[in-house]
Formats: sequence, C-alpha cells, structure tokens
Amino acid sequence: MAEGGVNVVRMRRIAIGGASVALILGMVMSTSGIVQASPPKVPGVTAKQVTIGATVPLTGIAAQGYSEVAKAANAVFTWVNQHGGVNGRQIKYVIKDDCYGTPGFGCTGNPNTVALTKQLISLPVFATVGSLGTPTQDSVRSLLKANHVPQLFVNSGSKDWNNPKVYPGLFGWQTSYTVESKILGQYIEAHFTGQKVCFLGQHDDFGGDGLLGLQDVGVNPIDSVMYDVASLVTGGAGYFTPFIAKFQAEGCKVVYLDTIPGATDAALGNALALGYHPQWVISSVGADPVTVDAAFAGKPFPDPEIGAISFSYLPASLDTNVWNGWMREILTNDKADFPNFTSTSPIDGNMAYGIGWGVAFVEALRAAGRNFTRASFLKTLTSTSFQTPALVPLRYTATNHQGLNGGYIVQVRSASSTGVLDKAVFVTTSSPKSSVTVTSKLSTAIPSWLLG
Amino acid sequence: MRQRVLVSSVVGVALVIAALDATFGVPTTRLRVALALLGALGVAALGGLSVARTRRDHPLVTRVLVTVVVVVIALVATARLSSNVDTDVAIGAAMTIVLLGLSFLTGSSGQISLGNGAFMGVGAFTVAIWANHHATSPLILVLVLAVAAGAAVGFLLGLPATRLRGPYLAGMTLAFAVAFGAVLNVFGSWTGGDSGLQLPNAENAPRWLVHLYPASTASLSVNSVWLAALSVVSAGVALLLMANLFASRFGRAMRLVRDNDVAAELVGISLPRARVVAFVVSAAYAALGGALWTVVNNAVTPSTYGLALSITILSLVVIGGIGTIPGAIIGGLIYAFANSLIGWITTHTGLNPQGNVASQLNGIIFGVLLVATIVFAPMGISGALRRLWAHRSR
Repeated sequence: MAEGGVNVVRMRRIAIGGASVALILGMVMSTSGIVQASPPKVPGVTAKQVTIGATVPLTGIAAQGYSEVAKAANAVFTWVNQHGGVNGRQIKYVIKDDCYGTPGFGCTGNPNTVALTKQLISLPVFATVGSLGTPTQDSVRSLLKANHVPQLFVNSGSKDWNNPKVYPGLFGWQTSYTVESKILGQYIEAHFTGQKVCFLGQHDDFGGDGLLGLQDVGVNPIDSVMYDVASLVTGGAGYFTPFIAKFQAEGCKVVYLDTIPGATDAALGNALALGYHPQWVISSVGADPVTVDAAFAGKPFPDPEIGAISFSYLPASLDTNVWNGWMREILTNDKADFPNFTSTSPIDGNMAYGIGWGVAFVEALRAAGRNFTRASFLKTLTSTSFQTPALVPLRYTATNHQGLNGGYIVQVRSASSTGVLDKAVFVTTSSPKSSVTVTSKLSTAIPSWLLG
Repeated sequence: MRQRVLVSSVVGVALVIAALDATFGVPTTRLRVALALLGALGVAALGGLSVARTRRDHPLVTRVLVTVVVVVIALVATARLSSNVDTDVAIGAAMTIVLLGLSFLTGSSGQISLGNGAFMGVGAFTVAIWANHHATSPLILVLVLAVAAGAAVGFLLGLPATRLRGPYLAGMTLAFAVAFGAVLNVFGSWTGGDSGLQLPNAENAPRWLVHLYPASTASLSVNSVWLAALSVVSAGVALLLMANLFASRFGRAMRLVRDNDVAAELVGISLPRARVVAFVVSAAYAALGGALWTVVNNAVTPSTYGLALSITILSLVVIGGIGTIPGAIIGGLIYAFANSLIGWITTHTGLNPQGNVASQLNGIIFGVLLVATIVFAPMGISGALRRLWAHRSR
C-alpha cells in the first residue's frame, strides 16, 4: 500500500482537480442552450393521426372480463381506421395495464395508475379515453386536469365523473350506480314485495351509491355488507363465506350484489356450497354471464348465475338489434385484439360495453370536425346527442357529465346469454328525488357512416 | 488501493460526463449554475473521500461524504432524465428506504417480517388522512408524522414479537399484512374505503426550482424532477442514519442477538428491548417509504398495500442482499426499473404486450432473479459483488 502510494495519490488529485475544473467551468461559462421544440398546437393530434390512451386492468384481480373492454373499443378504432379514419385522421390507441392499481393476483403490469398516466401525458395523448376503475381514475383526476388532458368516458358508474365545475374535462359514460340500483330497486319492490333483501357491495362509490339508490326507491336491505377488494385478493372466495352464510341464516330471499365479476363468482360459489338459492339481483358491472361463467365452466352443475336478474343499457345478446350484427363484424375483423373471435363466438357484455364508448368517441371526433382543439372538442361533446349501441341516446350538457341515464331489466338465460325480462326502458337521475320513469325516446339506429 | 483509484476515476468520469451534458443539454443558465454547484459539491465530497486518513480516522465523515456523492449523482441525473424515468426513480428511492428498514430487521436482528407492506400503508394513509384535514401543513411535518405513526404501530406489533421467533414471528406479521386491508375497510369514513384518498393539493415543485427551467417547460416535467429529488434526498438521509446505526454499538448488539441470543444476553444485552427497537426502526422506515409514495402519486389506494407488496419487499431484500446498505439500493433500483425493462423487452422483441409470455414477464424476471440469487449468491447481488471485489483485490 505504501509502495508507490505517493504517485497514486498525486494522480488521483490531478484527476479530481481536473474533473472539478471541467465541471464548474463547463457548466457556468457555456452559454449554449438547446432550442425548445415548439409543441404542436393540439397535443396528440397531427395532420394524419389522433393519439389517445387509457389505463385498464389487462391482468390482476379485475382483469377477468374487463381486460376485453378497451380492446373492444380498439376494434371500433381499427375498423374506422381501415375505412379512412375520422376526418382523414387515424386513431392510435395506447393501452397501459395498471392491474386496477392492485398488485398481486397475477398482476404483471405496473400497478401504479399515476405513473402510467404520466407516461400517457408525456406521449402526448389528446385525451385519455375509457380508462377503467373508480379508485384508479379518482387518483389521476387532478393530474390530468393540471395538464389540461381531457379524461373521457371513465369506465365506472361513480358520480365522481359528474363534477364539471371542478373537472371540466372529466366525463363518465355508463349509467351511474345510483341510477342502476334505483331502476333495479323499483323492480324488486314491484315483483318481490315484502321479501327480505340482503346487500353485498364493494366498499367504495360502487357499493355506497348503489345502496343509497335502493333506499331511494324504498328497498331497505335487512343486512348490508361492504367488502374490500384487497381482502378478496388475499383471502380469496373464502373471505365471502361468513357474509353469505349470514344472509342465509337471516332468511334473505333476495340478495343484491354490487360486485365486480371476480366477487360475483365468490358470492355465487359460496352460496352454492352452502345450498343457499336466493333470487340474485346483480349490478350490470358484475353480471356479464360469459365472464361470470368462466369460473364455473366444466363443472358438473349448471352455471349458478342462471336466473339472476340484472340491468343493462346495451342491447341484450339474444335480442335482434341492428348493433349486434355490426359488433360481430368489427370484432371478427380485429384479429390483433381478438385472434380467437369467430362469427359464432358470443359477444359478451364487456365487449359491447367497450364498443359502446368506442363508438361514442369516434362519433364525437367526427362531430368536432377536421380542425378542433381540446376546448372545441369538449364543447361539441356537451352540445350533441350521440347514437351508440346503448338503448338511450348519449347526451352530455355543460352541467351534466355523467353519461347514459337509463336502461332495462334483463335476466341471465344461459352461461353465455341474457334475455329481456321487461321490455320497458327506464330513465332516472342520481338525485334521490327524481323518480324512475319509462321512456320512449330510444336510440336504435346505427349512424350510416359506420356501415362503411 | 488500485481499486479505489478505479472507483474514484469512474465516479469522476461520470461527473465529467454530467458536466458536459449540462453544458450542452441544459436549457437555461440558471439550471446550469445550479447543476454546477451540485456537481462541485459532489466533487468536493469525492475529494474528501480520497484522503486516506479521513477514511481511517473519521468513519462518520466518510459516511456523510459517500451519501453526498450518491445523492448528488442521483440529483444531477434526475434533473436531466425524462419525467417517466424520474417517476420511476422517485418510486424506487422510496422503496430503497423500505428495504433499508427490513434489511436492518432481518439482517441485523435476525427477525423476519411479512408485514412491511402494511407498515408502508400506515405511513401512506397517515399522510393522506392528515393532508385531507390540514391541507396547508408543511410537507416535512407530514412526513415526520407518518414516520411517527409507523414507529408507533411498529412498537405495538413489536411487543408480542419479543416472545416469538422464526416462523411464529413471520406468522404474526403475515396476519398483520392480511388484516390491514380489513382494518382500513372498517375505518372507511377516514380511509375512503376501497377508493382510498386523494391529496387536496398536489405536491408541486417550489418556485425556485420552476425558475431554473424555461417558462415553456411542462409543469409535469418540473414536478417529476421535484418529486424524484424529494425521494432521493429522503433516501439519502435514511441511508446515512442507517449506516450509522449499522456501525453503532446498538448495531453490533443486534448482530450478536441474531447470531447467538444466549451469548448476547450473557453480555448484558436486553433481548426484548433489542427486538422491539429493531421492529420500530423497520416500521418507521417502511412508513416513510409509503408516505413518499402517497406524495409522489398524489393519492393512496388500500389495494396497493396488500400482501403482494410485503412479499415483493421481502424478495427484493433477498435479491439485493440481506443486511447490507448497497443491497437495499440495488433492490430499489430493480423495483424502480423492472416495469420499464419489461416495456422495453416487449417493444423490442415484438411480443404481443397482452399475450401470454409478455404478461408473465414480471413474474418470470422476479422468479428467475430470486431463484438465481438463492442458488448462486445467498448473500444477494451486493454480497456477490463484494466477493468478486475481495477476490480481485487479493
């Protein structure tokens, strides 16, 4: 160590001295700077392309079924792109997997919605379109607002999306949880009068608003349980066993579920094991038969969801509706997103859902014209009525950004299909005072430009 | 000796590259001056480190200087990287703090915790709940509160831990991790239920930092730099404190407890006290990490702090190297860039990002790393590097 030490020390001093001089002189003296590239006029929009993005659960606890939603919307964009795009522009849709913000349970994306949304903002994207989840999208509201990025058609029925004063760029799409439970609640009141009702809901706006909606129309569950997703992830279906056993012991004839599909499976499976067969009433969020049946496929007993009552704002899969044929065509066409979809595959509720807001976006983009800004696009969105696969027209106003306001009662008929239980289409609002009424203003036609 | 010259030269070259980059790549003079001052600080610290006598006679000064060099390099880098990488760095630096805590608990006192994800959650929710009731509190106060809350919960959990060992202790911390989500659920009116909480005010970059950049710079980029810097400096402070703790009388006592608790008791170390303190330190560190996550994400969701996170933390500690400070830094880096790496692999190999292989890459990479570490380098990546180092020096 002592041998040759002097030389080494000197060498090192020279090196460090040189480095510091270079560093300090270089940084302070230099006057050159980089020229900031001027940003394009409308972020995410070029002469030939509109870039939009979304964070969705492609893997993890909420992926079952929901992983298809954004892909189905992309099938719309793919079809439209193949037919010349919208006003001469192609739509580029960037999907990021945020696992519903929940690590574990097979999650292989980055369960950090904020980090992924920052990636989308810096692409840049014109808007986020169809990002999924209440907690996840709540967490990026202020981030998107601060960066002036519209947050369109959030896949959730929370009332959080209808707050135009604070979040002018934020828009929901589906009927709110309250609207849905009010309409279902009225059906329970009419057809299961005086029977004991139990309620199991997700412990956020989904369960909370849903329960309030039931109470608004006079359905007062004798027992209501709010479950948390994290415990379902760690505990599995066993987490629900005590709740369902309690409902059974209390003699509930009707069980209302505000559950995501994985949780619906857990509830149905537990009841089956306990020999408990109540009338299930399941929110559209967790009722899609194809998704729910996946857990029971190949079992020696029939799908326990058959007979369950649910709600829909989209055409029933067994119904003859002009949109059903078109959906089949575009899904078969999109081999990248749906490689195994054939002309005989069932169109599940999640696909129809994604196609719904996919159509809403291309309709709005078309209505906004060739030259648009973020502001003018939002103005078009709040002043136009859009035809989508939904049965009621999609209509936003400057003071209402919620989305669809009505639908009808369906029943699960088989492991892959739903049928209409009551032909009437009901509308209402999230306000506790507004009543549930039957509407005749339906949106059944398909915009001609989408027919190619 | 030769190796030290090598390290000094490598770090020196890195700083010179940073200087050149700053000269040609930085948009404003003000930022250039700021980076120069920062760089000068780093070089000065490096100069101090190069004095052999300092290293020999003043270990505390040495640790301070090492920390300054590491933090300066990270800060210079964050000022120049894209906002996406900065977010990764912020998340990873906070994870480094958590790993330091668990590394101390496991490596020094020999206890295993499967509940550190939940301890992170304690810090994360403390920040969010406090900020929703006192929106104008200074950030430093909020972070200190989160650390205090973490320490308090750690203390409570540490009390029964004094009577438990090995798998029984692991079982107790596991129970805490599993129960944490249910506890949050019960106090839904405070914790926001499954939606979690958003902070009323986003943590924005202070004015002086904004002024270093051209007026046209997007607020997203400056804010990302600020959040990354915040995390990195917090990690630096945590690192320094931990280095001192490792080297202190208490740290030595801990290692004795780990290796032979009977001997430790014979020389007068109170076993229960040592175990509780280790738990408190580890929980406080985890809470600081979680608190920083809430600040960086501007929101907290209960599902983030489930069992999977606790298991990830434990495997990162094993991969990085149990009981070592470089191990915690390596683990934090792996966590920070794992997702970006997967994104890079899928785009450059043309894998369908929604396909079976790509969607399992995270599990494959972590699994392979964990198995390889356990088989080939039981002391983790840092242990393997150290052995390589010792071999070359001979």
